[in-house]
Amino acid sequence: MQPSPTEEGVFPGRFWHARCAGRHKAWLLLILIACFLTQSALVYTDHTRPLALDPSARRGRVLWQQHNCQVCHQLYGFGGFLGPDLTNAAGRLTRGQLAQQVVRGNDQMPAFALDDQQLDDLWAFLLAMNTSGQGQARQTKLANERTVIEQVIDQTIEDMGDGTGGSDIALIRQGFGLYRTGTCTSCHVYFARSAVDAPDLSRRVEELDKGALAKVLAQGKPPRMPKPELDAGQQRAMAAFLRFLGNHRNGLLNQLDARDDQPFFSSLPWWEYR
Amino acid sequence: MNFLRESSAAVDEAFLSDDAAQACGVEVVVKRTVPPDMDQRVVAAERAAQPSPVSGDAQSASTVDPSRRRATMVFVRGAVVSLSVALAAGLLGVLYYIPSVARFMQGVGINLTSLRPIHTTFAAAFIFLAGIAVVHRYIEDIAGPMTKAEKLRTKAQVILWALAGLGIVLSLLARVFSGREYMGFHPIFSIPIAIGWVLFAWNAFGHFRKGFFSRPVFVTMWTVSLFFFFYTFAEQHAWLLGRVFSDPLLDMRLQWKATGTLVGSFNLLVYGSLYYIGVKRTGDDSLVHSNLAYALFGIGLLNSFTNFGHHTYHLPQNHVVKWISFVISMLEIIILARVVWDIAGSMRHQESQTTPNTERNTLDSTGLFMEAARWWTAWILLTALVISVPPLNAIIHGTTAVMGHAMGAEIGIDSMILFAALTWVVRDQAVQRGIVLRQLDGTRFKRTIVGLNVSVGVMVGWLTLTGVVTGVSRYQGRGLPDWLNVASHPVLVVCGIAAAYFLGRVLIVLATSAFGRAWAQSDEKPDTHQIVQQ
Repeated sequence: MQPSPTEEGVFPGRFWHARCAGRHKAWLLLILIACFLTQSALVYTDHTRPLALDPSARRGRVLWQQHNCQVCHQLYGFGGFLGPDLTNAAGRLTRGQLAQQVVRGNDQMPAFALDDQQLDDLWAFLLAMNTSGQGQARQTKLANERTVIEQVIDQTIEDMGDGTGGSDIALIRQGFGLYRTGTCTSCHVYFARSAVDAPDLSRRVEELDKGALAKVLAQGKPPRMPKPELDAGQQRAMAAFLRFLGNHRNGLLNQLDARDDQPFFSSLPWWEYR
Repeated sequence: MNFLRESSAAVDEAFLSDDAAQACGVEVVVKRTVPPDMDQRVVAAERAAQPSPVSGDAQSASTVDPSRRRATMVFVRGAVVSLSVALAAGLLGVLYYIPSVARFMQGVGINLTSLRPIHTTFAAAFIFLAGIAVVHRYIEDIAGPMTKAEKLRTKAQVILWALAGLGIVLSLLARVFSGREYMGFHPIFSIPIAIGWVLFAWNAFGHFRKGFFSRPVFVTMWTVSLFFFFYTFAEQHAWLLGRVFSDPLLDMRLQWKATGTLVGSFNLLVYGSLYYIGVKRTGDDSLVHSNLAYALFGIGLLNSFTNFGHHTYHLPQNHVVKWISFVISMLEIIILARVVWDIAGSMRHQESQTTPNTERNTLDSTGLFMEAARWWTAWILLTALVISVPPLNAIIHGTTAVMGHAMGAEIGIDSMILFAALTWVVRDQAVQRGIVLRQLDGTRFKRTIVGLNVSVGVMVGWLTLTGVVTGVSRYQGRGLPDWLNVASHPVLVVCGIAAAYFLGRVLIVLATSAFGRAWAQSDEKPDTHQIVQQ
């Protein structure tokens, strides 16, 4: 028996092509409503890691929305892709670095005329977000392990200082200090290309001769890299540190791999985020 | 420009004699300047325009209330205008990814902070308006003349939305934002949008509720969309509550849920349109009453309000929500593929029955768009399956693979289906009024459709590839390969320009088809697509 679209009922072997009865449609809608209400209840009653913003952080969030930061940046992957995810930005930047970036802007990021109080509020908001969880897989973990990487670099420089080249070591140490407290780490990360496409400097420095490196440190690399605000002495120190990074890249990575708290992954869990 | 001139000339040519004659006060026969090989298609279109007997009370094509036809065309035009605004804002926004251009644009006061919300708002508006146009077309099939109250409600809806749209553009350009995704405009504009939707729902459901449970599945889908929208639109504004705003994680969970269900609401309009157009073109309405269709609808709706979860695997949230999302994501996308394949197969069969032997395998523009939507659905379903698996989701999280997937879904599936719907509605309306729109099925337009799909396809493919490579490289703690950066800019620039060019041409054809004096003139004579010479 062939099912007809005008007939209701179950036709053996042709159930899916038979006309759906009105009462079945009604039941289907009721079931779907029930599922929707259940799903909504699950979301509304979810108290996983409640994050109550203090008044300053709340004002910071208002600023975030007023200036539409989410057009370019993401929080937990929600937002635009022009800029990096800022969920854990407070874990890799200092308040001063954030302020510099926000107030100066760059080619693609406008400069925002925020006063000190507003910058404090924005910083409080980003600090709160940093404590809430992990917004990005892999890259952020690497960036968040900046402390570990910097400890290893620091120790390596110390060990070198026990040997020869005192003034060179002082220069490298000065350059390292400038690198990690200045704006370099706003875009660059150690030993990888960053989320904003800033190159791995430990590799990049090997491709540049002395003159080319000096030029980049003096003038920046338009249009992406702004001019670093370094005087001549600081430029020499930065160049020394970058050469050190390039020359000791493999050694540093080996040391990092050997640590128990090494920042690089070797497994892929089902749920990356907990 | 030649293309534009030719398209306009094609529209005017049909009425050249009528204009001249009217100027002399003489009525003449409207000549159908239809090529001989087009006659069969016109006949087939007219036949398909006849309502299916199971859809409700039938109305003959020549006696449909002109007010109803005008209402349909108003929303078609609104959809075309919305997409044009979205395309313009999107094009300017894309230029921001070129740093030197971004610097220039900042200098002249054009900011991405304004462009992106304009783009997302009007892209969503296009989808809603096009879907509503199809709903109005269906109401032409089942309803009698418009009552005064219904006319008033429709006019009020159109005025409110037009004012809201204008206000949104001006306020966003003036940098008044809400700072939210998809609903980037100030919440004050939500009021006229919500009121307009109430008026539309009042009109539509007023017709659907009669014999509701005997109507086809697309009516069920549209009805659910009507009510679903209210809930999700309200949920989008939960952030206005202090308790929600002060807890960003709760806000983000709600925002993703609301966004996912808002997408679900307009997807119901889109997929309902797909079913309706499929029935009208094939004359086969067995599918839209079947158990299979309702099963697909059920799974689709279930997915609509749960699959936001695969965007929030990374958010601190209840794992039950994540597992539900994963399981249902797997179910729905497989089943949706079946729908598109079935409809396209049915249409191909019908085309082979009505066209001459030499053109047996030729599709018109509507058929081409639907064919494209089929292939896009297959690709997007495949990638969605993969990226819904949690560990793989983590790898591509925050990469261009997500962007490629979103573009593929919105442009590849939703827009292709809606272009199919709009071309069908416009052609159908034109046939009913004796207007010939050759540009809709000309070779040039078909090539445009192919070009659009190829350019968007390459762009989406590239974004997906680079996203995967980025994610895997980051996972392995390695730097990105150099070829990625060297090749990315040229590929994206070329494909972006090509896609914008072809999409612009599609819009021009739709605009020249949907606007023009011919429509206004035909509105004055609803029953006379043949005027008797005196």
